[in-house]
Amino acid sequence: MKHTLILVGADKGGVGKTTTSRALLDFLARKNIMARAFDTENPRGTLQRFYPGITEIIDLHNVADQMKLLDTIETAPVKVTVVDLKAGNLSSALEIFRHIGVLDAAAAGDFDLGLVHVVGPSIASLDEMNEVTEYIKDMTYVVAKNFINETNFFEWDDQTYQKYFAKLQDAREIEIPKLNEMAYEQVDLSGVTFSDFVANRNATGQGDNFSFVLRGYVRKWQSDLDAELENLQLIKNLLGARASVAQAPANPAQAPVGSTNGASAKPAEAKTAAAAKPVPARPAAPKPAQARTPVAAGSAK
Amino acid sequence: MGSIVHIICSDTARTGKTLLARVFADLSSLRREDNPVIFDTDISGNGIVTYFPKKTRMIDLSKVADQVTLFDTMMEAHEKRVATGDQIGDAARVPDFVVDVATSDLTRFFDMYRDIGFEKGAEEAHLDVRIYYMISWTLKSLQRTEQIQNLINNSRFFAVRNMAVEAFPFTPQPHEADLVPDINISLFLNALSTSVFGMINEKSFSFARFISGEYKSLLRPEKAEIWEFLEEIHNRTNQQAVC
Repeated sequence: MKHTLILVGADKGGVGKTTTSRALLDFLARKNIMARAFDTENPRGTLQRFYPGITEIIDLHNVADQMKLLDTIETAPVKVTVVDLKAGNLSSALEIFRHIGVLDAAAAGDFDLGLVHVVGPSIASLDEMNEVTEYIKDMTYVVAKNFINETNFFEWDDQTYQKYFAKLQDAREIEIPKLNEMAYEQVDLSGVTFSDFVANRNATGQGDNFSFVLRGYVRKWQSDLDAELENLQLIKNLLGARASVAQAPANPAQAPVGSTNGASAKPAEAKTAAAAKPVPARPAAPKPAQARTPVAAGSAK
Repeated sequence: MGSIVHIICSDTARTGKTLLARVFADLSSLRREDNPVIFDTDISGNGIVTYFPKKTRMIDLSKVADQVTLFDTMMEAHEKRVATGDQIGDAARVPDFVVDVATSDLTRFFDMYRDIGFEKGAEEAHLDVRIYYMISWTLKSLQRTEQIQNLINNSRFFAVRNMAVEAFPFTPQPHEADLVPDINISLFLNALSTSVFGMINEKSFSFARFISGEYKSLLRPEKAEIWEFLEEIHNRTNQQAVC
């Protein structure tokens, strides 16, 4: 199974980057794919509150932290690394990754690289997509429209939308489904993963007393989310690799265990997958080769 | 035996939904005085709350807080019993539930029923869920009945035909023949005489008190009619429940 680095980011704040990271980690756990996470919301990372056991808070402009993240991709015991990029950090993070040679390494097939770009309803988000086009040639680029808080993408009239998306080659679009507000709030207040909430477990893994109705809403939301994520090639690769590992009889010790925070994962739920939506192609942007050397704060861009 | 949950619903108003809900509420009250817990989603106040104002909790299904009240209360009944060391078989200590679903809430209720996984949870909580669908004798109603029935896996589903409502059988037009679903009616409510119907619709009337021997002034034919009406419901639903 090839190592996979998934970046979750946006330049705009409050669009749901951490929620999307949580949703992604939760999905991976339910599919028995072990992952680790880095939260670049330094010094206070929200992601760590939900995934304390696997999340490390780093400053992406700090060389030592860059090394923690990037030099361990191929040596880490888990094959998937999720990075929650703090608000306003997307373009600079991509520049750092290009400067260090991460993008080249991904292009060379050393590992799979994906960017989940969480967008909000404003034109500013569309402009953001414009800005990242030069970085995304050799990665899986996913535009995630976050509906979790019932966002209306009112500013995205079809003509404007098509204009921006026409520039993006091989981009995929997913929707983070809406989750009932009260359910979302309860999960948030409880500081547990979505799966633990559904399983009625608190952060220490003990039984709790969460509402049956709210747990039901979260379970339904997970099911809808699965249908979106499972159509991404990046995810298909992970699921395919997991399946082949699970079928291999030679070394059962290598079989992945799907727990992200110490609690056991629940089996995958049946669902009908809706196709992720491809968007029109874009001419490939030229990308200079760079040395794979950590870059100090401020030196990128 | 765990709690019994009676869910009474219809796609059409005035099919006898509240009447049937009252029957179950009164029969349940014979098991225990404070039984059952009644939920009424008709926030206009014209549903079963009219007959059981003290036992009924009004539920506005458009509000999540009320959804939580409705479904969590039923689930917690089992958890409380387990917490107190009560046994599943101790029926006398188990509350029953009657849910009178307003016609306007039918879709919302069963969307929730499906989405939150109520059936699975109810099974784990040892709830005996019984759904009574009052059919209006139209093609649309028959099709809706089938749709709801298809949502039900583990719960008991009763297609109910109230003979007092639209007593002439629905005859499909030639172009509708293939559209009529095959619905197996599992409970017929007898059409009551005008005098009995008027009497039982009085707010003060109670089927429980009738069974307990009150209403001594009733004429023998009227008593027989009510007994027959109740026996049909009791026997049909319990027979099916045993099956």
